Amino acid sequence: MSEFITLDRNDPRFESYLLGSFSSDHCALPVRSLHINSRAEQITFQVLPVAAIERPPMILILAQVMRLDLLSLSLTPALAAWALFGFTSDAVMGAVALLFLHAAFFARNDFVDHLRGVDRLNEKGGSRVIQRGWLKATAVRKIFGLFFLTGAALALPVVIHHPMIAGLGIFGAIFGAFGYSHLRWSQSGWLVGGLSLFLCVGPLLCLGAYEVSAKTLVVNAHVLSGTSVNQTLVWLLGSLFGLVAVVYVETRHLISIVIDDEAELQTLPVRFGFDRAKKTLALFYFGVAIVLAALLFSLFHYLGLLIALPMVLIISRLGLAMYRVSSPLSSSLVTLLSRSNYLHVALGALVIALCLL
Amino acid sequence: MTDSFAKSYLLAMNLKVYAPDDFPSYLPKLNALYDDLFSHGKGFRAKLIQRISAHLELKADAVHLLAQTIEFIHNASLLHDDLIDRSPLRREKTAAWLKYTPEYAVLAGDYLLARVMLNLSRYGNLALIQYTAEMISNLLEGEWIQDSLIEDWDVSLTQLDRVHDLKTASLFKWCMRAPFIAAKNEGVELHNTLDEMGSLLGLLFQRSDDLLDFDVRNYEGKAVMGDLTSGYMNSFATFLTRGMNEQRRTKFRECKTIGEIHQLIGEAEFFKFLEEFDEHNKKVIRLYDHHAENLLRLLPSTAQGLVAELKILPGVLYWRKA
Repeated sequence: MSEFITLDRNDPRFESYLLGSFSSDHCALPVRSLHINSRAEQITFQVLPVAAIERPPMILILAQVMRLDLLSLSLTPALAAWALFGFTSDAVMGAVALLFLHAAFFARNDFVDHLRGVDRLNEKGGSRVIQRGWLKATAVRKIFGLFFLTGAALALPVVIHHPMIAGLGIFGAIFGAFGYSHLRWSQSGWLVGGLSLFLCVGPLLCLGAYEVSAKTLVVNAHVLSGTSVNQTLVWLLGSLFGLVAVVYVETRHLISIVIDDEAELQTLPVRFGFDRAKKTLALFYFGVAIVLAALLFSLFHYLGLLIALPMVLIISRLGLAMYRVSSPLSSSLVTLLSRSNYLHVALGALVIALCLL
Repeated sequence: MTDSFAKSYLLAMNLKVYAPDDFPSYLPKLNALYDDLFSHGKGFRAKLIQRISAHLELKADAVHLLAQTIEFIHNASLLHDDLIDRSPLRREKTAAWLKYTPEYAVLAGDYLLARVMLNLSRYGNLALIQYTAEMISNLLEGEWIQDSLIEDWDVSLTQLDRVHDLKTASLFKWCMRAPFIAAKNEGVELHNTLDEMGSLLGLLFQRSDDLLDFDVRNYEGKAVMGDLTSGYMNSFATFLTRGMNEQRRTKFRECKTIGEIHQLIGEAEFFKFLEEFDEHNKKVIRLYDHHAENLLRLLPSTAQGLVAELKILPGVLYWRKA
């Protein structure tokens, strides 16, 4: 087999090379893509024997597919809600189900973004396992199926005990697992996609976690407890994590604005333009600071504001750094991306620590 | 035959793509400015146009137009670049913005672009006009984004490649495709292949230029370290500083001479990185050769000889030898 092969969409071999099903002992790494996601699409593949590709152990590959580095986005809001309102056995089951559904979401995203070409152009997009030849696209699709079914099976007893979860879960699944991947391509993708992300990994996730919790505020502070107070706290908690998740994802979109614009993806930065998008994200950071202060005030009153202060200052600095970013290709954006992920983890750790103390 | 073609690309050529009566006689210093600008350039892009056009049997006036167009656009970008970067020299001579005035440098660049549009619209090939406008737009986008990366010391190689694809590669892509557009040969697969080849040539050219800045294969003895001292991390600099900690990166960007770079990294280590960088680019050359092979079946029979000529270009551009 020659080292390279160039195929366009009209070629009957195109899909099999893209999916990796053209051969059992060779894989095709996409090295150049033109006119992605259009009828004129052309891809040049580097064809290599499977044995020639250096692969890490399968467990590490799977961890990468599962995007464990981003697990906080899915799990932390639920863990924080359970720390606040009390763990139950259903919560533990729910946590494991979430892990698999998180992995399923990202595996599907990898598959879709590879086919559409976004991850072929964006060298930081996705888990990179397909583009590096570690797994074929068909394998990633199978992994999605496996993770999704496992997650659904683990979630089923929880849903049976708590039917309200079913409604939230189905809504979340439709938007989160499938809608987000496709909505980005529609005219209103930036808004609907952003909103669905905010809700699914924010308030809805926390509401769902609350439903399977003990529903008893464990924080024994100067706060009146009761259902309406609990609901307020759940929404504040959910909004906090939802906002940070949106900041993370839209920072990613800001980094890939050049490619997304070319691919006609309707992300917030593409719609708003670089300058307005970064200012919007800076505002979101300040929004996070305000919601955090409101949450901790609700829990601990003025002591809560004091506790929130260091984190509010850190978040404000991040917001200012975002405001000052000068280029979509700037390395400071990459730094801000990882810091927004750490922020998500740190906020979860803060809430959980306060509940445990 | 192949060697002589290669050598002709490397030699400086006082290629005059314009005549004094191409420009109005009443604009003071304009012709002098252009004489300074165009002299001593190798006219590589114009030569590439000429070679491709010869195989397509384009008429002399069309070839002249294409060669003039690309040289005008390229040199317009040089006029503006030198002012933006405040570079004092261009081709070993005082840069136009310094020798004349910054205002004249800006206007002279704009005027060249305006003449391009005028000449092309007179020629009347709408597809060519559209493609040229697209190319100029990409060039300017690349320049804009590159300017936003000054003093960004952590920019990645892939991000830089994106800039170079807009900035440098756009011109090479145009050189590959414009003669075919002028010949009214607009097959999609053909132009995709030419586009890829142009893009890869642009990448190789830029990376070679970036190596030159570190005195690698600097056969002409050009000034070095200009990028780093201007606050710009070129592709090889980015490659050298991968995995460096913050302290070493700071020392790297403070280096003023090649000696200091070698001292910081270690001379053996420097050449090891160079070998690795060259390996990456050998893959790019193999990819280019693959597209050149594909081009064979897409070209009319009368133009098949073009492929052999195009295959020598990576050697000329990257290895800087015939």
